[in-house]
Amino acid sequence: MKLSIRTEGEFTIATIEEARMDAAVAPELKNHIAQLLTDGKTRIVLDISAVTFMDSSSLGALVSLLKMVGNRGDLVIAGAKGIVADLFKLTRMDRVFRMAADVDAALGMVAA
Amino acid sequence: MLAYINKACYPKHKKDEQRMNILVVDDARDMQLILRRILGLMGHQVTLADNGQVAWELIQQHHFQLVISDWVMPVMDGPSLCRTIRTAELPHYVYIILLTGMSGKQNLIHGMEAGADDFATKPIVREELEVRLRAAQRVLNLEYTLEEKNRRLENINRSLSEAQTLIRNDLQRAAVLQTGVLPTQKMFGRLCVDWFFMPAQFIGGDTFNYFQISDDLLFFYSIDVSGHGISSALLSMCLQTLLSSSGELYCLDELNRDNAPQFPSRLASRLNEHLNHALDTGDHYLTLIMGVVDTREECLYFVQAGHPQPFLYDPQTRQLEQLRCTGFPIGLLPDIEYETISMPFPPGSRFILYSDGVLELQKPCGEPLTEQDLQANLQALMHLPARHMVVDLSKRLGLNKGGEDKPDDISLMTIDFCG
Repeated sequence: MKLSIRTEGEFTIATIEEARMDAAVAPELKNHIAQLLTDGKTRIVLDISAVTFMDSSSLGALVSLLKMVGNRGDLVIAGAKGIVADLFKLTRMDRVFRMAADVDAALGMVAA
Repeated sequence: MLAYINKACYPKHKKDEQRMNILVVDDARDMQLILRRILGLMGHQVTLADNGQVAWELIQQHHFQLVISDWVMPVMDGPSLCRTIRTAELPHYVYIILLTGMSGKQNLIHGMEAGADDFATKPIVREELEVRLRAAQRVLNLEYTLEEKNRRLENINRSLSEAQTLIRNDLQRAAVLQTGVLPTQKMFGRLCVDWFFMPAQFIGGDTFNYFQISDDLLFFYSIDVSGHGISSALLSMCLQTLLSSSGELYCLDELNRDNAPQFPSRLASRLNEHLNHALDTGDHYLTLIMGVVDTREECLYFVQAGHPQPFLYDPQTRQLEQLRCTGFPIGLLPDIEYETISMPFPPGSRFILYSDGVLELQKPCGEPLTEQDLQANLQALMHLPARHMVVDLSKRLGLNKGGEDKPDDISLMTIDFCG
């Protein structure tokens, strides 16, 4: 899967450059982000604005990452739209994750 | 006699892997004997042939690593023997040294084109031959290693494809068996239930069930376990057991008309705790809609746990409405409170549940099917009884074609309160 990582201050911005987040992508995404956490990068903004389809296994992977972050950092989901945003609402995960319209809004949110 | 097998003992110090089986091809008897003597002293096993034709017959019967052949011979000459060996595609490599009294570039090119590996000039000098044999040995060792590796890879390949076939057949069988636990009864007094289910190519986690509690109550659920594959399918089977009337979580006599309005949310909470604490589901979780129809009260009670939003047909307005309800999936987070949604369910009503596999289907134009498309398709079929509605819908969605392997399980269930 294509994932680009950049650092902005103390935040790590991980951008998913895939249109589909499905069972083929979920385990790899989980490993990548888990590695960031292991490396001490615990303030993460996950930019999913390029994603047009997300399946249940990817949502499961995101929740287990959120559990991994726990109280030691942030995991903000940025740029969910269309049926991806609908999936977060349907499963009420928009109440569990911190959601932001885009990366800038996410940075403003975690910096506050 | 055209061929002579050398039965002489060769020196004991020659290691087996260094000892070669050599065929000497020459029409001159003295040359044959000189070569047999030299090669025998080096510890190799030597066979003699008078010309290319005899040599070729022997090569087809015995495994020679090395052929030392004269150039000019009656019947079949050296270059012709080379070509015969090379075109035969023998199971092992044969290293060929051509003997020549002739010199000149043109001859060498001619010999190499025929497939010779090396050349030696007559008269034979023992030291020179020894060096050429060592070179032959190196090439043959390399060839042997390659052949061995190839054979091993071919074997691995064969076992892998055998294993794959086995797994594929097993999964196809499992997909068929998955449908075996689904309910077959479709009439419960004035309630009529129907459904379709298409397992994914490599089995998925959809399942559903319904059963009558009393004359007035029908209990039902539609479940989709996240992901696909064996673990998803087994978890869905596990849930069938947990939620069955004799299961650990469900006690049939517990559900009655008095507690029906609270029952779905309570069972969902209990199932959520069970999955978070008692059952190690890995990263798997599930979405579901689970509920009760009370025909005396003319009411529908259900809990929504992240499942695709269901449709309710209102016989008064004759409109199909998508119920905009949301809820946390089961087994994702602990300590979740669920709420029961109550809806009036007068005679003529119809409640339609489905899994998200339906929304991964494509329209004939190639665009993904949306909830609006599904609603429009269903609305057009509302006048049909349950059985016909389900069959027609599966046709409209292109599910009747078969053959195409679906990426996810597809299930849909309708509960009709016949008027």
